[in-house]
Amino acid sequence: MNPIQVILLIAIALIIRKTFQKYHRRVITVREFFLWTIFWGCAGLLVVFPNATQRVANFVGIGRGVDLVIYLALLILFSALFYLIVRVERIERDITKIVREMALEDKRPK
Amino acid sequence: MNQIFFVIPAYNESFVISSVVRAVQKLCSNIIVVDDGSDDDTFSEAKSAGAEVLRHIVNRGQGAALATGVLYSLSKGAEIIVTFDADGQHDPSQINELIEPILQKKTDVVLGSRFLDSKLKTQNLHNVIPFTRLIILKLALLHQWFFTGLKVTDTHCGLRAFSRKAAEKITITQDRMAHASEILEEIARHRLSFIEVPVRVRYTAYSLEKGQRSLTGSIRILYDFFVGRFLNVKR
Repeated sequence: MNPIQVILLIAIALIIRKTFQKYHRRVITVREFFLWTIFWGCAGLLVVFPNATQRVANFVGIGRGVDLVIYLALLILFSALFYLIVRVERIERDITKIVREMALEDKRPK
Repeated sequence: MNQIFFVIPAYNESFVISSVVRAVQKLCSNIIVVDDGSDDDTFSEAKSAGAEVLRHIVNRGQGAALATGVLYSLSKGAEIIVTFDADGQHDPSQINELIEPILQKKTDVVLGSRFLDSKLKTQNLHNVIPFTRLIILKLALLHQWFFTGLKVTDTHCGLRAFSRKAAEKITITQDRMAHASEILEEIARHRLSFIEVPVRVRYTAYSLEKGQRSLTGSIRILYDFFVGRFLNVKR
């Protein structure tokens, strides 16, 4: 095993442990815990068997399996980022609505 | 002058807010200060100076504060709404030039412009408005013209006057500084008529300290502007 594989596996193990702690303190639900664990588990498998993606990569016309993983990861990351940006903005506007309503409410005759 | 309302958004302006309120009071009695979650005594200073003060419990930005003040003024029966900066950069004696065209029903919106003043032009502009800010303001014009087709000489002047009709139609969803561009977009969208009048500004050391200091501020405005685009599905 390469040093990088060891480092990645340790990192993934720590992340899964963190996820479990979050579940334990009921910060996340069972469902979320399983989904994240499966996700990181798959990531771990890919680290151990990097060639597993090779066949899929060849099928879609990408030379190396690792590249396929990176392309997919970027795609997911950017769409998640976009989703988050829009969502944060929407929450900000909702906060403004609440703050505004409170300011106006203060002025209404009781 | 009963139906003329002044809306002054203020964030941490306790040093100057009372003098600004008093200066405006000589012209108009309906003064709405929106304290935008200040950490200092802006709220009590404005109140003791005699303004009606609305309070945002947390800071939401100038655009949000303006919109709150405008909504409140409309609910109080305002026929003309003037927006005025809290940092003392505007000259209250110029208000008549702003509201006169609306009183005469010549136009829906009057926008103050720092670049129309012929006196300002012959003066060395750079002495009045700091160079980096000048560049930023000019770039903003280009951006505005590109996106709304409106040709104005100043996009970010805080001194404006709206007729009731205009104020009812213009919706400000941009909480921060991008509201300035948004107001122009709304003017274009609702086909409101507008004119620009020259205004003088006094950039004191104080107002400079508080203003958009650098390029980062402008980048933030652009960011807000484009992110806002994904969200704004207006009727």
